[in-house]
Amino acid sequence: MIYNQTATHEPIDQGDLIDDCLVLWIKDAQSPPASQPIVDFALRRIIVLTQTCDLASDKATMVNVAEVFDAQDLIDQKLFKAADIRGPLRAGRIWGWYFLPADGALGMGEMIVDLRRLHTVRLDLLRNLCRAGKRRGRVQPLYREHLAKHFADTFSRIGLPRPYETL
Amino acid sequence: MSVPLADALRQVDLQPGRVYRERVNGWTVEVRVLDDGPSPELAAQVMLQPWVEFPFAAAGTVLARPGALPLSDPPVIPADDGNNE
Repeated sequence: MIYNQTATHEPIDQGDLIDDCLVLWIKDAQSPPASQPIVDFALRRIIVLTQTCDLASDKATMVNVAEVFDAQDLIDQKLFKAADIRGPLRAGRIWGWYFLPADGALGMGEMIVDLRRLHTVRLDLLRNLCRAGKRRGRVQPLYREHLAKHFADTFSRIGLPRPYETL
Repeated sequence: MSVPLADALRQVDLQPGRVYRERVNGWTVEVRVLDDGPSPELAAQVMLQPWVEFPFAAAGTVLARPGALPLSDPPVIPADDGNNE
């Protein structure tokens, strides 16, 4: 079992998949305050990245989340080929992207997490979404730690200018 | 003269993790020193968890409008993966 279903009143936890989260995009920002910035918003499925221990300590008021896309949408937009998803993405070999399998019982198709499309969201707003039934499920331990490790590695890795030469 | 046990033990060079057994007034007395504190080396390696949330001072407020967010940046597929299973 990769996901489990959560009750609406359960606290937010790492690995929660939540629909209709408001994300903002600064479309234009020319020297404020001379001109007002233009900010677009969209409602997106997100996954909670903030660690369980930080959420459990009840100190966090803000939550770090990443956007989650339907895998077929990204194929349709030609960001991925189906073979990329079956191969390197599913195996966790593409930095910054993470594959999540489908779950028919929860009504979720194959998903791709973009670990570079990050947002910081107020915890109380996410709680409201959960109470409204927008939490689709929760990635279970081991899988969510695997995701968290990939997230951490994406930003802590050191890229060499070129690969080592061999004889 | 009666001396509190703690006061008497303070005069002894107790080492963590050691057990001391002595005959006192015909009785066998055992003192076990628990090793429940981190060693100085470990204590220096413990990560600290300060938690500070700075207040957010907004420079202004604008109304966001519904919009189409841009696509994600294209992924970098490892060249040697060859799209195989």
